[in-house]
Amino acid sequence: MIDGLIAGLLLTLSWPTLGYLFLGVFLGMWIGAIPGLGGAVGLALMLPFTFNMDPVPAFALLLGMYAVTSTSDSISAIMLGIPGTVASQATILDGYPLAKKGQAARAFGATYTVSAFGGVVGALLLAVSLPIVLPFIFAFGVPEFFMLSVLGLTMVGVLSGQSILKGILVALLGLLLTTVGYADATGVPRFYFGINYLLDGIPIIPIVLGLFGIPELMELAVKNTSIARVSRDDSSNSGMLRGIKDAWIYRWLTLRCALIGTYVGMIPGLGAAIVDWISYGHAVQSARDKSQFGNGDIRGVIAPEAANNAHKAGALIPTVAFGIPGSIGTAILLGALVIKGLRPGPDMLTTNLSLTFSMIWEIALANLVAAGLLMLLSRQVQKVAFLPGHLVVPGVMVVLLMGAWVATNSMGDWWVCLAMGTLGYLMKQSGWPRPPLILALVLGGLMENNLQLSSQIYNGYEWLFNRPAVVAIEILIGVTVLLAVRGIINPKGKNASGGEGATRNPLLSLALSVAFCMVFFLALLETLNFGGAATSQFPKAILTVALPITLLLVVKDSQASMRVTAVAGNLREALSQAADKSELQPSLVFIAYLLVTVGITYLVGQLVALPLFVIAYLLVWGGYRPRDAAIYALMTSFIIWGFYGELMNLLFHPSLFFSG
Amino acid sequence: MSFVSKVQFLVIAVCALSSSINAQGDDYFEGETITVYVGRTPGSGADLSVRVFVEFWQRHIPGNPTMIVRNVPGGGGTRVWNFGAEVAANDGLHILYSPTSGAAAILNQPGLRADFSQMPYIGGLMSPNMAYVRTDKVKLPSDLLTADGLKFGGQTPAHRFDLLGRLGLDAVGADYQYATGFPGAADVFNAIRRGEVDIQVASLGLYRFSIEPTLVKEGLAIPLWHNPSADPSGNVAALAVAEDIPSYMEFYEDLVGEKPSGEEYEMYKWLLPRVNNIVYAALLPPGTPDEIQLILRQSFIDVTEDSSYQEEELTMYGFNLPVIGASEGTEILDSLYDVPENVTVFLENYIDAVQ
Repeated sequence: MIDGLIAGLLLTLSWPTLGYLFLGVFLGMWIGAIPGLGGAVGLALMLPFTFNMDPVPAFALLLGMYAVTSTSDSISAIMLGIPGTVASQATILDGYPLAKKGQAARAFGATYTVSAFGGVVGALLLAVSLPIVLPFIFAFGVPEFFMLSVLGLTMVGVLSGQSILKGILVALLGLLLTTVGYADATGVPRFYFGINYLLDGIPIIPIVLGLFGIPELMELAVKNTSIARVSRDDSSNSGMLRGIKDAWIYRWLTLRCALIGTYVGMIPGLGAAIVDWISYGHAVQSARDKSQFGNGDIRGVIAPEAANNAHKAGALIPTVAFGIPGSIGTAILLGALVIKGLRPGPDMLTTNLSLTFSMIWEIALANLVAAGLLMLLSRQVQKVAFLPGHLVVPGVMVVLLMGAWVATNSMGDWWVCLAMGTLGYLMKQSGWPRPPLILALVLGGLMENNLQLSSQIYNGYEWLFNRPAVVAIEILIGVTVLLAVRGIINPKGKNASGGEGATRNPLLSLALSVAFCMVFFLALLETLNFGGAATSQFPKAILTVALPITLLLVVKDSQASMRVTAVAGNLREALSQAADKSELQPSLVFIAYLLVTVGITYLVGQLVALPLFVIAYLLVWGGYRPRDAAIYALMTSFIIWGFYGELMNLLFHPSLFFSG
Repeated sequence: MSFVSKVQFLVIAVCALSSSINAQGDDYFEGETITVYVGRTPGSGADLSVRVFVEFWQRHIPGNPTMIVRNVPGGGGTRVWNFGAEVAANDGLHILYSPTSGAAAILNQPGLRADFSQMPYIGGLMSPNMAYVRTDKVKLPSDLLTADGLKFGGQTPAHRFDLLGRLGLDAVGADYQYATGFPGAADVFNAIRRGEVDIQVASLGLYRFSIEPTLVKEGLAIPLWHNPSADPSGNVAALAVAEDIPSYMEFYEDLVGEKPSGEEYEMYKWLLPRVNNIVYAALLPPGTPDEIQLILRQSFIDVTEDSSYQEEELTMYGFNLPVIGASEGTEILDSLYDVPENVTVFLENYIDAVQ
């Protein structure tokens, strides 16, 4: 064992392995920072370059890249409120508010410190656990997976801020969205309305980018404010060193979340997106003062960032030791192992032990190197927080749209992104929490799938009562729900979490409640057309819970709207005030810009449409000079063509007028 | 392939060779970029297989063009074929190379608009597969008919592994419970390891690399049969790459003591070539010139005969993937559009029974 450890280290430090590791880290930093890409896409891009390489340098390149995407993905999460990858979804909840307070550097300091720590802890646990972890992995069957996903869903209570009922409803909408497309158990397409794009289900990336990214960009555009709402002087005490100190102050939280990340990573099927939310939920639940969560609590950044890096090391355990990939990323790594002629399984712990240890060293080293490099870079990156909003919006919007496009290279990705952007804006303005939607999207497929499989394999539902692990998770769920109920009964003071769901705009909220009600009702009608019980069971269960809650919310929002109307004097005045409060008109104009861009893309493709959007935005909305707009658009064209077209080989929407 | 089709094929080939192969052939692809479209997400198994193949393919096309891979996932794997039939230019610079949607065409599933019979076939590879069972309930294949509480794990009712596995078990009269909806083959394998299900149809690659060295070596599982190769006329042949595992026909005879027969067996045999023979098919957009088809077909064959590619296949899969040539592939794709009504009715009922 010790020999293997030392041999692995020597392999890692040999040339050219070390060079490839650094190259991988450098590429991973970029890939993670660009919204919509992420480790799996990066691995797929890099894999062909390793075909003719020896195994050790090849894995140095791949693992160096893969390990650090969940470190650099925090850049856009913190600076823009847009998760760089699915692993940083929860980071935006407190990371972006910190940037708004001018504390981006502090958030980066904490993020990179705990990411490096998490990555190293994960690698160490990987080394220690390899020979003994098999019983743990196989203790989780489909009933346990189902219960774990239910446990994850109870985090809705934590993520809903002061609007638990709305949080539940939003989560139910998320669950319903996961039922779009082919049902796994029956192969029958649901809720696809003849649209082929929907047959495979709605991809999560365009939803996340739209739901969180577009409302923030809209706000920057409408207010023309910088991301940081304070001056640089006011943020002078919020540098990177303070973030590093934060990581030390919350070292036990960091350690707990790194452990959560590693062990969740070991269980195949539970991805980085889930561990992100679980660790965030743990941070909130274990905090005495919850009042700042969602408003820029550094613990809300530390928890998910420590966990998501550790998760990657954990996920490598079943991949390497048993040939069981737990995610797309590890499936590609498994493919890489096979292409190199290596056999996952006992050989990796005996004959190839030094190679296995070299992979562990590579993960640990990559995390440390990335943290150091990103800390150096962050001094420059955080300056973006103080740039005028109009300069930030067009470039980020282009990256966001292209990030959404990466999902399936289809216009459907953009429609989903825009629809979710509009929904996200309305939710943000009217006090509807957005995170439960993503949590439900992440968990919904797992829930339905494992529920169906459990009932098929165990002939019904007795497994709910006679499997010790299931019962243990049920107790955990009970405790979590009790804590959430306590939060509802006693919403004031330090026990109440803030953030999403805190803003109120009853008239807008009423409009959303009614819209939700209609969506759920129409969905219920549609489920009547689903033939078999296995196809309709899950959506019907969702709708059975959702419809009464929606009706209750319509009543509550109607009452609140009447009170607002009474204060305003009449309905017209109340509506006018509600529109002003939510800056409805300019926001709609912004959406119109995006719709026109989509329309132009149908005609001429992205290579022309997106630079046109940049020019139109800067000239008309931003009031910049034509020369500045032209230079900005030219750079945009170059990035779309060079990065997305040539480097990533993305298929653009075909132009009606020219081929490309 | 019918006699008329064979004559048409020969005439096209001869005409193409004699007319413009030199004018347009050797230098046609020089300096060009060929885009290969795969209907799966980056990093998926199919994507990796195609990328590895393309790495070799570009060396075998006259003029040494650059080849790039683009992903067109969606529509249950049908979008790439729709794209090829409706959007991609038929100039030879656009090739669709992806897992086929034979079952989607036969079952007329929503989403598939492309007509495979109109898309010139370049070449295809078979991905052999097999069935295995846990030994705690079935120590020997002969125990299969008497075992209690057997569970067959699948991915979705219309998946070829589910269909062939169920039909194979039903044909021999095995009593089993069907649990489907696992996200992928690796998930079924995990469930087998955990003892949640007992039988799986898996690719031979998964068997060679994961199942055989672990479950089989540890005495926890035994192979049952491999799904053989077949042509649309019903001729069946065992696969050399899986010679250590009996073909389904051998398995049936050993177990039942007579030649395979019955409705489920006939359906199994009918489906074999149409959903199982061509797993990766390279097709061209309709109307691609014949001489370009010939060049690409030849280059496809050249890759499969390239010893370095064969070595790569051995490393990746543990065996060489059987090649499905142009005439056989074309015949199979044509047969997808000649489905007897009794087959349609049987399959619809068979799948609906699960729902």
